[in-house]
Formats: sequence, C-alpha cells, structure tokens
Amino acid sequence: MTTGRTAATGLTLSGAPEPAPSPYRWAWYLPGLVAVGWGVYGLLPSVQPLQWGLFVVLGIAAHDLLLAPIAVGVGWLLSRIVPAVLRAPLQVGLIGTGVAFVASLAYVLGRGTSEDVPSAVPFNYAGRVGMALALLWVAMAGWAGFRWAAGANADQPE
Amino acid sequence: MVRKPAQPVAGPAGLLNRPLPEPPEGLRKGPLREEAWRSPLRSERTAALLGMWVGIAFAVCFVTGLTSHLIQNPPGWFGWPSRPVNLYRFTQGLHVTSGFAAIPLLLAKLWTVYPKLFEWPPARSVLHAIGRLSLLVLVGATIFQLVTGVLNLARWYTPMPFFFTTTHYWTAWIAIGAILVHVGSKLAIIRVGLSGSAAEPVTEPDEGAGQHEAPAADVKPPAGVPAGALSRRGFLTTVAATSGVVALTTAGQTVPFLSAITVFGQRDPDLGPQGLPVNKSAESAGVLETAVDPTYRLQLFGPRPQQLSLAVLLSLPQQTVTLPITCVEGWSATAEWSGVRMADLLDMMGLSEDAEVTVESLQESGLYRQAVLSPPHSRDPLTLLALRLNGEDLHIDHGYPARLIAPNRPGVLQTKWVSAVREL
Repeated sequence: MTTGRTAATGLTLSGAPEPAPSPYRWAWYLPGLVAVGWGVYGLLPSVQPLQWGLFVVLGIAAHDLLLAPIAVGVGWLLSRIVPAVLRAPLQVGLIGTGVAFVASLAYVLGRGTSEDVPSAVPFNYAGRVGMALALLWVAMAGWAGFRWAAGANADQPE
Repeated sequence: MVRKPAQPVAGPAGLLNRPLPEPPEGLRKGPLREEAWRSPLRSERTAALLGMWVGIAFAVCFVTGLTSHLIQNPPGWFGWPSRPVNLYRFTQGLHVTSGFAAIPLLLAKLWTVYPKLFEWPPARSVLHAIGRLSLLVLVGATIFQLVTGVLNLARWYTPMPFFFTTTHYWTAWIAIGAILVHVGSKLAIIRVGLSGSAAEPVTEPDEGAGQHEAPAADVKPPAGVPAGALSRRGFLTTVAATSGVVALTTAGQTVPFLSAITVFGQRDPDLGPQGLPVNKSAESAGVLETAVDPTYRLQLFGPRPQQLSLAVLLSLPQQTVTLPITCVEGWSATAEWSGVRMADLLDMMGLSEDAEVTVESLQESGLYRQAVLSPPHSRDPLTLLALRLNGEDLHIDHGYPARLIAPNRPGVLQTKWVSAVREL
C-alpha cells in the first residue's frame, strides 16, 4: 500500500486553489472515453495515422505558437500605447477582424474554385469580408468618437 | 496564492498522485512567471461560459452531422422520414452554421485558458501530466474539426491528405468524447464558474483526494486593468455577438432572405444553371456524351424488366412538385421539378410497396454513382424521376436526361443522369 505525500493542487485562472474533482466526473468520463475509443477505432483503418496526427499537431501549433501569441501581443500593446477611451472599441474591432480573417481565409484564397462548377464558392469573398470589416470599423470609430466626446472611460472591468 | 496539498491517498491512485520533483525556479521565466498573465478577462466564469457555448455548438454539430451520416449509411435500426420535406435542410444548414459560429467561441475559449499552457510546475504528478497531455486530444480534435469543415466548405482539399468525409466523421467522435472527458475533469470548477456565488467558498467531496476548500472563482480583484478596456461582460458580449454575426452571414446559403449578406457561405441559392447551384458537373462526372446520347434508355430491373426511352418517359403521367435540393455542405435551394412519380415506375416494375431499389447513374465511377431508395422515400408521392426543372428540360449539370428528386434527402443521394433502377 502506498501512502505519503500527494501532489499539491493547481491554481485556477484567478489564482485560487483548484477545487477537488467532482464525484460525478465518471458520469462524463465513461461516455467520453467510449466516444474517443470509438472514434480512434473507426479512424485507424480510414487514414494514415501519421498524416492525421501531423494535421492535428499543425493545427495546435498554428494556434498555440502563432494565433494566440499574436492575440496576446496585440492585447499587451493595446493596454500600453492606446488611449483609454479607444481601448474597448479597438478590442471589439480587433476581435471581429481576427475572427473574420480566420474564418474567411480559405474562401479568400480561392483555391477551391473550379471552372466547370462556377456556382460553387461564387462570391468575391475578399470584397464581402472587406465590406463587413469596413462596417465594423466605422461602427467602432463612431463608438470611440462618442466615448471621446463624452470624455468617458466607460466599460470599466467588473 | 499558496497551493494547498491534498490528503494522502493509498494505492495506485496515490502513486499517480505523488508529487514529482519541481523544476528549478530559475527556469520560471517569461510566460512561466506567476505574474505574467494578468488580464482580468480570464477567469473561471469566462472560461466556464465560453466552454458551455463551445460545448453547445459542438453538440449541435455532432448530432446534426451524425444524423447526416446515418441517412447516408443507414444501419438496420435507423429510419429517416420523407416528411417534413425541409427537415434535412434544417439539420444540415444548422450543422454548417453552428460549425462556423463555433470558430469565435473556440478561439475565445482557447485565449482564455492560454495561461494554463504555461502552468508551473509543468507536471505536479503523473496524473497531472496525463491530464495535461489529454488536452492535446481535446484541442487538436476540436481545431481539426473546424479547420477541415471550413476547408470542405471552401472546396479546398489539397491541404487535407485524407478523405474529408470519413476523417471528419470519425474525428467528430474523438472531439465530442474529449469534450465530455474535459467537462468531467473540470466539473467542480465549472460549477464555480457558472454559479453566481463567486464569493462563496466551494467544498467538493472526493473519494480520492479527500476534501478541501477552494475559494470561488472570481476572488482576485481586477487590479491592473487598463482603463477603458472591455469588461469581462463586454468581452463575453463581443464574442457572443461575433459568433452570432458569423452564423447570420453563413446561413444565407440555407435561408434565402439572408443570402444578400452571405460572407462565409459556399453558395448563392439562386446562382447556377436554371437558377439552381450545382455540386458536380456533367464534365467532372464524365457523362457529357452519354447523357445526350439519342439511344438513351432507362433500364428497369425487377420482376417486369423494361427499357424506356426519354420520349416514353415524357409520355407517362407527369407530376410537378416543389422541393429543395439540399447539399451535405449545408446549402439548399428550392425548385419546381416535373417528371414521373417513382412509385409509378416501381409499380411498372412489379415491385411491392416495401421494395428497395438502387438508382444508378450514367457515371462509370464515383462514390455517389448510385443510391439506395427505400420506403418511405421510394413511395412518397413527392419522389420523382425528374425530367424538367423550373419549366425547362433539365440542364445537363442538373442530371439530364433524368434525375432523382425526393423529399428530405441529402443531395448526394439524389442521383443525377439516371440510367437504371434496380430491385435490391
């Protein structure tokens, strides 16, 4: 029988000790593990595992090593060099712009178009995304102008 | 904040929980520093709410995707009705729309918990290390599903060194399973995050680690918050609104009155030959010559086998129905189809009410060159061997000289350039 020290608990995002695991966690683990197992069972004969794994790892890397650091870096800059009155409008505009970029990139690059099916991916996606972002930034500029005029430092954190 | 050791535990669980030696403190630099992550937008409440939204979006995607898979690969126990005619249009439109709507939700959720990537020490115990590694499956599978789904919508298959449909389906099981496991492992902290009682201490009984108290989620004051920046509520509202806008600007390929504001949709429902989009052209199917061959005959294989020319098919009683064509890629468009009722053809073949048939295409190869047609679709009065579309002969890209059109059925099963109907 093994007894002795156990690992200390971790900290939450707020810096508090993590609560103990719920006694009901197995009600989630069991169906979850069965689903994962079923997925792996079906996937293995369907794909080259290394190719699949590489695609997964590249996806994680693209987020953890590229998108997230960019978002964190932009947020860091925003909190230091942007006047307070502009921060919230800039944050909203940047969140919308970032999402539009990620969600539309495959369309905008246009690699899926084919001459024999012109009705597929038919739009000028760059133009549509550009129009949507223009509307977003006009709205954000209006909001920033309003805040500036009101001299407000609204939207203080909770 | 000082971490509190848990109670000793006996047995293998205790072994797995034994603390590992901490790495030298000197290595704790950059993002590993305790004070490196200060944004008050990151909290248990933010993570729990975003996680719940991501979970709902993925659950909707999973259920609707599984439904589509079962319709196309029906096991014996599964039945799919032919009415209401727009049911599949709704479920598959929802699948694609909720998938796109999940993109900002997942990005926001991952941003919120990004500091946990730099948790110190990196592994407190073997169990902790296993738990952290398992997150690779969760993050990897969820990103995989959204990336491959978007690439499929954009019809850009080159970056995917695998068959999209099969891989997306099986990875969906892994993603939804990993989400369930993650919810289970975070159940206590999710409760804290979702409950409004952020100031209340939380006590969770646990058979493995004994009991201890943890302060609730939002105890840390929002010190160091840049003035004028988004509040936590503002951040969540922004993410939710972004998700809603993405959904609205995707749904136009399914919902006609939204087509004018489509940004992320694959189709304009009114664009294509005869005002209807096409998924596979006659050229890519290799039927440009055979489809217009004047010697074309529809072969009927059953108790009373027959061969019918196009002229004979046009001389049979014609029906006109208004039905949507609904693609597995989420787009759909309604059109007026005219042709021979499939039930009439099956009667001509001498088949019983419960007979199943395959509807075969002039295509010589391809995954969808034939489709099984069973009751209730085979006997539904709206199911036609269509010869005309919107008052004109079928365009060759829509399946001239004859195609199947049935209510509440995926487009890939609406066989085009029909050459034969065969009793199963």
